[in-house]
Amino acid sequence: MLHQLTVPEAFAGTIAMLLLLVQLSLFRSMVIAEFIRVYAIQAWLVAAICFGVGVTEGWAWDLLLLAVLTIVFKGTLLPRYMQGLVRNISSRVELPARINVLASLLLAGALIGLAVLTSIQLPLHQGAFLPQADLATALSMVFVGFLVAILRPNALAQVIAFLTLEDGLFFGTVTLAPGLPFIIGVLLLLDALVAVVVFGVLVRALVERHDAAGIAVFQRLRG
Amino acid sequence: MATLSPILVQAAQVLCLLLLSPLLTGCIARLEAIIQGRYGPSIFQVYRDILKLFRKQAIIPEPSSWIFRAAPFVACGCYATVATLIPVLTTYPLPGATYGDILGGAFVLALAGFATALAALDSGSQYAHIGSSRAVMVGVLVEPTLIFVFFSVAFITGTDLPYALNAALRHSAADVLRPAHVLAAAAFFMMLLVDTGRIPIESSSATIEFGMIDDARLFEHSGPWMALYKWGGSMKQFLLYTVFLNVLLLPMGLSSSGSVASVAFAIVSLFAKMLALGVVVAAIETTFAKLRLYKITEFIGTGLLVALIAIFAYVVGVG
Repeated sequence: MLHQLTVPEAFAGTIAMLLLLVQLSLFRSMVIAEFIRVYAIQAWLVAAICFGVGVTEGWAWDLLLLAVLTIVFKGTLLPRYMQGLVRNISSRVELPARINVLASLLLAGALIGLAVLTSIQLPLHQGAFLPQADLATALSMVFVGFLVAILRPNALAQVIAFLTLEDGLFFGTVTLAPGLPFIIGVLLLLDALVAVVVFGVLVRALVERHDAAGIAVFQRLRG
Repeated sequence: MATLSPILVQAAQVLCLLLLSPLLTGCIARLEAIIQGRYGPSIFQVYRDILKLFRKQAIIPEPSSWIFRAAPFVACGCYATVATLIPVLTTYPLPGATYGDILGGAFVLALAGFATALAALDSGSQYAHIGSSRAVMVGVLVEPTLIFVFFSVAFITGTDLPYALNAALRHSAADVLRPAHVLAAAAFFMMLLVDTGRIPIESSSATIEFGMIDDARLFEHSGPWMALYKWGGSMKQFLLYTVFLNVLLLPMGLSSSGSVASVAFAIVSLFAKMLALGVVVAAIETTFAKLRLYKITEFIGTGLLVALIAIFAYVVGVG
C-alpha cells in the first residue's frame, strides 16, 4: 500500500518540502533583508536538488555545473549584492501586507492543495524522481510566488516573489526534464540577473524618494 | 529473568507518569535556569511544592459549587487514563491499551482541559475567566492541527492506535525520515510548545496575568486542589513528550519482553530522551522572543500549514 521511497526520491521530497516551507515564510517577513535571505536559502536548496539530479543521472556535467553556478550567482553573489543595496533602507521600510498572516497562510494552503490535486491527475511517467510530486511542488511554488506578489504590495517584495517563483520553475525543469539543454538552465540564471537589475533600479528610486521624504520630515520637526 | 505480568507493567506505566513527571518539570526548569546563567531551583523543587501544597489549608470561593472541587480530580484522572493508552514503557499493547486510539487519548486530554476551564468559570474570578477563555481559544486553534498531524501519521502507517504507530515506525526506520512524517512531527512539536506553555506567548513560570494562559485558570485554587493541578500540569507535559518521542519520533528503547530489567531500561531511556527534548525546548524558550497575544494565530496557523503540507506530500507520493 505504501510506496517505498528510494534515496533520490526521499532527497527530492525533502528538498521540495523545505523549498515550499521557506517560501511560505515570506508571508510573515516584515523587512526586505529577510526576503533576500529567504531567496538565498532557496537558491542553495535548488542547487542541492540540481546536484542530486546530476549525480543520479550519472554525473551529468551540465547539471553539476549548473548547481555550482546557482550557488555562486543565486546563492551568494546576487543576495549579497541585494543586501548591500538595501542595507540602508531595510530596517526603515516595513513591508505592507494586504491581509493578515493566518489568512494568507490558509490561502497559500488552498493553492498548494490545488497544485497537488491538479498534478496528480496528469498521466506522468514514473522516473527516478517522483514526477508528480515535482510538478506539484513547482506549481505550488509558482502559485505561492504569485500570491506573495499579490498580497505584499511593495515593489521590492514583488521582485523577490518573482525570483522565488522562478526558483520553482527551475526546480521543475531540473527534476522533470533533467536532460534539458545546458543553455536553457543558464538562460534561467540570466533571468534572475535581469530581475536583480530591476531590483537595483527600484531600490535607487526608493532611496531617493525616502531620503527626500526623510529630510522634509526632519526640517518640519526643527520648526 | 523475572517477567512482569501485563497488568503490573500497565501499573508501572501509570506510576511512572505520576512519579516522574514532577522530576521532568524540575529538570527542565533547572536547565532553563542554567541556559539563562542563573543557578536555578533544585530539580526536586516541584515535588517539594506539591507536598507543601498538600499540607496547606484550602480556601474555596463562596460562589463555587462541586464542579470547582471535582475538577482537579477529573483532570488528574484523565491524565492517568491517557497513560494507559499510549506506549510509555512497552512496545506491545497492555490491557486496556486498545480501548482508545490516539484521537481517543486526545479526547480524554481535552476532557481534562474542559473540566479545568469549567472550574475556572465556577470560581467567579475574572482572571480565572480570562485564563479559561484564552485556553479554550488556543485549544480551538491547536486541535485542527493535531487532528491533521494524527491523520497524516495514520495515512503513512495505516493505523491510528498509538502502539501500532510505534510498531510501524520501529519496523521501518526509513519511515521516520519520510518528508510527510518529519513535517507531521514538526507540526506536533510546535503544538507541544503551545500546549506546554513554552511559546509563543506564555512563559511556563510567569507570574504576570497578561502573559498567562493555562496558569491563569488556577488562580482561585489553593491547598491540595492546587497541588493536584500543579501535578496535573507536569503530567500533561510528560504525556505530550511521551507521545512525541515514543509515537512520532524515536520509538526505540522500549521494553519488548516485559522483563524487569527491560522495563527498568525503558524507564531510564524514556527519561533520557525526555531530557534531551527538554534541552531543545528550554533552548527554544530562552532564545525565542515571546509574541503578542494576537500573534498566536500566526504561530498555530504555521503549524496547521506544516501539517497540511505533510498530507499533500503523502498524496503526491513523496511522503
